[in-house]
Amino acid sequence: MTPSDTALADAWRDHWSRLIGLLIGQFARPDLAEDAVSDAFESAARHWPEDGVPTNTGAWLLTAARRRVLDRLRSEAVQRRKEPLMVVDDEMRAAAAAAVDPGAHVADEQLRLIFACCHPAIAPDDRVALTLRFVVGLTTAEIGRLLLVQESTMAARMTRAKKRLASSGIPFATPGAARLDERLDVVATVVYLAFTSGYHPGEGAVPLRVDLGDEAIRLLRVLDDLLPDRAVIRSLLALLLLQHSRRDTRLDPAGALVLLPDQDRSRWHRDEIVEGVALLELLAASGGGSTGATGSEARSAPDGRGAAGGPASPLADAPRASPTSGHQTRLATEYRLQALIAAERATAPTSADTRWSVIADLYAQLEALTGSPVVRLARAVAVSEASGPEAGLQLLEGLDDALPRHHRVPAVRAELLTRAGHRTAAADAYRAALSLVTNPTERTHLQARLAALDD
Amino acid sequence: MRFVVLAFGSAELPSGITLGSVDTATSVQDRGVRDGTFEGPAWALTGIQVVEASDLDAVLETLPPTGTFEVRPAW
Repeated sequence: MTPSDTALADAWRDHWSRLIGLLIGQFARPDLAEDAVSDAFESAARHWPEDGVPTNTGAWLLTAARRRVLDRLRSEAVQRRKEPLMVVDDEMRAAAAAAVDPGAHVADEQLRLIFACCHPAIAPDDRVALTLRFVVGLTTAEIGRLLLVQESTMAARMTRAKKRLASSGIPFATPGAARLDERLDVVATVVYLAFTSGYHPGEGAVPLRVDLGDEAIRLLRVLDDLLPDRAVIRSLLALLLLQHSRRDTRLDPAGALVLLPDQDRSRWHRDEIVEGVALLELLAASGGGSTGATGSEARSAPDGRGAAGGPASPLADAPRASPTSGHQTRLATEYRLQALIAAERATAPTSADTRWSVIADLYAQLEALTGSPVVRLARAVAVSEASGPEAGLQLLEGLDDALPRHHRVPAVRAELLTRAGHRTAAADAYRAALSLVTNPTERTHLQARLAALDD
Repeated sequence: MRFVVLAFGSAELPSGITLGSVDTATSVQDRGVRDGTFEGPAWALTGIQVVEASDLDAVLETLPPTGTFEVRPAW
């Protein structure tokens, strides 16, 4: 990379969303802001290698982007604009107009931008798309690839979404205290979707300019910095750090999925696991949950507690006791439970030494909270690890109706029946799973398991 | 008497209020917010209110807790 490439990448990372925020703040036109910032970066890519990198790249880009917006507004003045502009308050307008450098802290323009892109009056898919474009700075083509939408379709959707952002009365503002938690939940959902879309790239995926996992985590850090002590943000940050810590071991050199027990634990990112666990302890200490069950402190607890049907772990009553107290929303509790499960897995010395009874308990709480059959399925696996296959099999009852086309239900049943020594029933279950499975890798795996029954 | 005139399609009311396009509509059902227009028939319309408010959120706050509503900017 040349110095100007590096400067450009740094500037993009540091200033993209701030520049967009400032321009929307000043001109109340998200569509123009996005085009202008994009143009300014293109212009920088042409000029910086020849003219040298400016001392203050942010100021250079802001000036260039402002000039673009003004040009467009001038040419638009001919045809009178009828539709309303985005709603920006006077204070923001004044601050944004006076800003000379996006690096200097002006106002909470990034926060406003995030809340605007994640407004509930925008369709859920469009919230993700707008956030990836306006806040993260991905191109429409990249977003289309991530969300498995053709580029032309994505471009049309983006145009509509931008129009909606500009003219439906959505404020460029941080919501008031009464609505903040509710709206922060919407933001968290969008960030989580952005994170997971990074792990399910489309076929023939071209590498993105950014790692979406890194970006989602960075965004949560910005949110945590601007709105400290919000349980939903900290819980999700913990969850994403713990999940992301395993990124280098998810795929083998051939690109095939490596399951958790087979992953090389020495290549997990320890610093991120430590940070995730510390966040969970902080949440527990601040009343977002009970103490224990994570990290070193919990490791010293006696083994065997909290098995399904046995004595409950100290965590058992925590989310139900205070589902809405303080900043604790239901979603925050859900993310925290998921993070606690991820922490158990991440801190287990080996797969075999995982504290399955603790995980089974956490899944029981998660199921009570969400009522999700997918969670029940995961719980059945954990319970069978903790208390034997028969206990797991009991939990699978009724799941076929709740997840009728899900091959994982008969596949898990087959596995548990095999372990319980019921070969004939296990073979039937493998055949049921094979009739539902679509993924070729999983099909091969199920066929191998079925064949192994005859040995 | 007081009357309300509703205009449809490309009709224009020179001294009336112009509604924002369907792309700018927000629907609310029992406080649940989503993008887009009311999906029922136009004859289901039962009332009209013109609100001066700073932004969409301010309008949403004024709506009754139950019922179906559609909000659009207008000028």
